[in-house]
Parts: sequence; C-alpha cells; structure tokens
Amino acid sequence: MRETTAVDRLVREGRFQRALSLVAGLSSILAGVEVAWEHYKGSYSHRVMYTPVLLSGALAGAGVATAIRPRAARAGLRAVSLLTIIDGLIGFGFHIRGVQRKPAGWRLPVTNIIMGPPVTAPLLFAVSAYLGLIASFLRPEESPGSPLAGVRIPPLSRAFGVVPEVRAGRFQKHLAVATILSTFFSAFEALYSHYKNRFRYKVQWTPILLAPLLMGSAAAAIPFRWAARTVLPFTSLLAILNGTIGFFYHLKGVVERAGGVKLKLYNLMYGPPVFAPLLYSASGFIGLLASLMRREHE
Amino acid sequence: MPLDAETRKPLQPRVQPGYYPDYDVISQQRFWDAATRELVLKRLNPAPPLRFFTPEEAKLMQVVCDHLLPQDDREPGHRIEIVPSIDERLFAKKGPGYRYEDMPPDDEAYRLFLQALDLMAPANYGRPFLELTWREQEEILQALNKSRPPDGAGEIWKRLSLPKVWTLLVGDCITAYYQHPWSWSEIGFGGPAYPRAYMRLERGQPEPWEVDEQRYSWEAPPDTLSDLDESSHHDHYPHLTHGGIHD
Repeated sequence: MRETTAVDRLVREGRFQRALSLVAGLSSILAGVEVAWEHYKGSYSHRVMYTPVLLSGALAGAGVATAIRPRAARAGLRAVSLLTIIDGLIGFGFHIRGVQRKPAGWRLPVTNIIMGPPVTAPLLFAVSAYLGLIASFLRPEESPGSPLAGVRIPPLSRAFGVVPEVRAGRFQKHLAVATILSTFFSAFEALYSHYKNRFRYKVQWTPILLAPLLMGSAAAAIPFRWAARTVLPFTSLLAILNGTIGFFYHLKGVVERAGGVKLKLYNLMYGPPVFAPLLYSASGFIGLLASLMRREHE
Repeated sequence: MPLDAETRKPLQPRVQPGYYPDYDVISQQRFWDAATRELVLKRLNPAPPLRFFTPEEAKLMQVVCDHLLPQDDREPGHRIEIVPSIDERLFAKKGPGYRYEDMPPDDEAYRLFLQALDLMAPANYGRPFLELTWREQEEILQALNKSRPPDGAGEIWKRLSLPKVWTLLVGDCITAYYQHPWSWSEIGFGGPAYPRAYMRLERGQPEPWEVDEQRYSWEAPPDTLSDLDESSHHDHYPHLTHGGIHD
C-alpha cells in the first residue's frame, strides 16, 4: 500500500504523539466515567476503588498536556500510564477476588461473573493507559522525518531495543497483539452482559461475532504483512462502527428504562453501560493503528 | 374441576398443573446449601399421622381446605397435604409468638371454628356440614369470608373473632401449600435464592435454568361461588371484561 496521505505518513513514521496522547486522554475519560459510577454502585467499599477514578483524571490531564506540549509533558504521561496499567492489573486481581467472594464463588461461575465485579473491565482501563504509554514514546507530528531525530532514549529502554522501533513507527506486530488482547477483554464483557439480557435484541450478538474476526485478522497480521494491510483495517473499521452503533443502542436502552430521562442519573447507573461500546471501538482503533504502522525490523 | 376456557370441558388433572410444564425445582437442589436442601427435601416426605385433630375434625378440616385451596387440578397422588401440616403446628403449639386480645390460642380457635361449622349447617340446611352439597358448603364458607356468619353459632363468635380466625385458617392453608416444592414447580418458583442467585432481574425474563411460562386459559369450576363473586365485582368496573376467565 502506498503512503497516500500525510496522516498515513506521520503514523508510519511514528510522528503522531500529539494525536495519540489526545486519544489516550479521551478514552481514559470514558473509562473513568464508567469506573466512577460502577464503583459508586459498589459504594466505594474499598479505598482502592478510588484509584482508577483518580488515575483516569490524571491520565486525561497528562494526555491533553502532551497533545499541547509534547516535549514537556510526555515523561509525565509515561509515568501516569505505567501507574494506570499497574493499577489495572491490580484491579483485575481484585475483581477476580470479588467474584470469588460472592456466595458460592467460582462454583456458580456464570451467575457470579454476571452479578459480581466486571472481571476484565480493569484490563480495558489499562488499554487506554497502554495507548498513553505508546504515545509517550512516539515523536511529535512536527519532528523531522529521520527515524530517531530529536529523541533521547532512556538507557533501560534502549537495552530492550523496543523504543527506537516505536519511535520510528515500527511496531505493527506489537499493536496487533494489543488489538487481540483488548478485543478479547471487551468482547468478554459484552458476551456475559448481553447473556444477562438473554440476547433480547439480535444486534447484541454483533460484538460477540465480530470479535473473533477482528482478533483473527490481528493474529494474521503478525506473520503476514498483507493481512495487516487488507483484512485488519476492514475488521477494525467494522469494530469501530459496531461500537459506535452500540453506544447509541445503549443510550436508547437508558432512555427507554422506566423513568427514562426524568431519572437520568439512576438510569445511567443501572441501565446498559453507555460508554462500554466505545471501549469496544477503541479495540478497533488500535487495530486500525496497527494496520497503518510499519513492521518491526524492516 | 376447572374448565378449559374454549371447549368448556373439565381440564384433566395433572401431576403438575400450572404454566411451567416440565419444570422441577428439585432439579436445582445442588445449588442450595446443605441446611436448606435438607429442610426443603424433608417436605417431600409423607405426612405423619394426625395428633391434634380428632378423626371427625380432620374430615371437616379436609373438606374446608378443599374449598379454600382446591386441588382437583392435581392427580390424586400429587396433591399437597394441608391438614397434616396444620395439625403438626397446632400439636406442637407453634405460633407467631403473639395472640390477639379477642382470640383464644390457635389450637382452641380451630376447635371452635369447626364446632361453629357443625352448628351452622344443621341450623340452615338441616344436615351436618359434611352431608351438604359442594355448593351449600361454598355458601356457608363464602358468608364466613364476608364476615356475615349464618345463624346457629352466635355464641361461638362471641369468643372468637370471625375475621381473625378466617385469616388464620386461610393463612395456614397458604403456608402449608406453598411450602411444598411441588407448588414451587407449579408456579415456576426457583426455590431458595441462596447461594444460587438471580441475574436476570428485569422485564421478568427467565433465568437460564428456568423455563418459559406457557399460559393457558381456564375457568373456575361451575359449582364454586368465589368466582361469581369476582364477576359481580367486575360489574362495578365494566372496563374489566375478563369475567371469570383466567388467562
């Protein structure tokens, strides 16, 4: 595929730090709002439940700051992103424990996964932080085209040899793996939440059916360059579209609950999770990004 | 016998009437905790012999319970025993822990109530209660339900509050019937929710292990009075057009 647009070229050369920081910051706001009221439903019974809410604010701030002044803020973005990823992993552990601590624990896996804390949600939160982490290693849009111009690579990162690749926009396989993971976490949430609703609407099957396609094409993109250029952008766009449509369906679901818009807060809290489909779109976004990247060691 | 609403023929008795064919709550027992399971399964055991009611009283009680909670939609071997359950409670003198000022203790209240039936039937129909037709028995019981007792037992109602003993009797029948797992299967009830929980909490959707409701229309038996009462009630609410039809 030829480099057709300026955006395409910037992405391929890893010069999209401002844009990706902004995306990471915005997706962290979505995740933050979702986690704020989900944890409110859990009455913040454990102090650690405040951490993702605070971190999402910090990540949003760092993301926006990096978009405005990349050189000054990207170190902060990197730190906050790392912290948030760690927080997501810890949260994953807590959520597993939460399911286990429900009556009958893992002996009633389906009921307790559905009624307990959303198991993979903390990992989805970590996905937006992961975008922030990637962004912190990129180069700003206005950087000169030479792969390693104007960058100082921290000694530890240099040792692993990953960072120069990222800076140069050569991390397609890496992003393909991220697409697979993120899609899996998101689709798992969709699967059991929609099962809770007994797949009352046929459209509730779409994120579940689309997930293996997106994951499969991302997996194919790891060994095959052509898959990254043909199938992956297609399935990724479908996922973005699907999440966007889902967002409106979830909004509709909230409005159509008893009390509708008159009980806005209550229905937002107890109706379908409004922003969850957009986190599904985020997986598609990562896939799309992956398809635009250059491959490692080329 | 309840009637099929379309053919107007009696519905055949079933092992399990109700709108949930093939649903068996006992099949869920492995999701209950051990203490609950033991308690519920014990209710499937055959009833112990009566110890409180005399044989005469027991016959009378059986007929009264058949009127209050008819089970002719159930096959004879699958009817839920109500009298033994009340008998057990009265013999053990188990109660709610309080008693109304105008009521004797529950065991005495039952004896007095049955005596009242024995007095009212001859006074109004010239025959003992057990020899009355189904319809005549219904008439007496419906009058009691409305707290307008027929003549013959005036002395007893001075010692016994009629509305309260009626509530006691109906309440005991309901408790005895709906404690039994067979009635749970009949109404599609899932049994103990602990630790088995419910997850589909909205729009009345069935849980994965529940069955879909399959409604059918039926009408109350022709010789019952309670349904007539209902339709006369509907005269005041003409927009309720169901009459006595349940669907």
